[in-house]
Amino acid sequence: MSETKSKSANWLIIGVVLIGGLIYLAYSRKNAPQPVAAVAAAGAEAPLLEAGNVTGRTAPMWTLPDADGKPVSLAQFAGHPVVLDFWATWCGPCAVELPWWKELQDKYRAQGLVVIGVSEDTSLADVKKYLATNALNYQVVWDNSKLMPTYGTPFGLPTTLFINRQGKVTERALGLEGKPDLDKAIRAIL
Amino acid sequence: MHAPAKISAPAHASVEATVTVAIEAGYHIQSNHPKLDYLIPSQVSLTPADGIELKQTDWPKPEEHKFSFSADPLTVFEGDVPVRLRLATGAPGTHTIQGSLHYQACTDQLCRPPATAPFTLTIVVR
Repeated sequence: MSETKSKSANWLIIGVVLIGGLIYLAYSRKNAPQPVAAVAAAGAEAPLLEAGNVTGRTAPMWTLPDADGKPVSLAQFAGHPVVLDFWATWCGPCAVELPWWKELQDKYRAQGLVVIGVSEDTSLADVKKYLATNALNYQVVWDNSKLMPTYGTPFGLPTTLFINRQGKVTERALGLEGKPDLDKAIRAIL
Repeated sequence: MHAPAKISAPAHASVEATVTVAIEAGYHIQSNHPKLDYLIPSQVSLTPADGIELKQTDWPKPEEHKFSFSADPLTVFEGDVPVRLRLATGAPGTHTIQGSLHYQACTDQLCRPPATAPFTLTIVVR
């Protein structure tokens, strides 16, 4: 490339930043891909879920803070059907599902359903700000990316796990699902 | 990420360099000024270095795209996105500058976490 002596602007293509590795597209629950790496977790009180092998396995225990900093443990809900909805305030597809979770929590509350929103926001302040203007009728805990690997799932939001009364993961949904599909998955764990 | 070319530029002058962001098909990243305040904007930054100053970052006009999860169109980037960096050079010397693109990508159904993609500029100021 010849050197220019003028002070005029020089247009140069200097590099390419690849946003690569994003090979995941939306999948239905029946076609969920196998993640590529095994996972490890610290402090799990149950056997770890292997990457991609979650259905039928016992959900690992965890303790995470809620929006007020109070600890919440999965163990508190032993014997209940539980939905873990991994979401974040910056996730548009997640926002579609949030009102559905409110409806489904109300619909199946009497049957013991516990919906838990697991926030992957890096800032608890963002979660608090969101909840201040979008009241939810179910438990929200703040994870900040620590828990998803424990559940053997690639990082994509929303990710939803359905846990039956025996504490076993019956289904995992990666990406935005339709409300009828979520309802059906919940009925299977009641 | 491709290795950058070594760029020659005059001293005490303005230089423009373009970094091209290649976004995989099916994904989009938020524009540098998203319409909704909870969306994470795309940003380019350079680590400060003696002799080179980032004066301005020019993004192309984003696309307006309606997604299944959005009531209104969002401003996003898709495909190959050229980002123009306006730099000011100082005294002669060779400068290797670290830069990064901060972004958050989604498909129509799924979002990946915010991420940072590094790049390097090598500028020979004569």
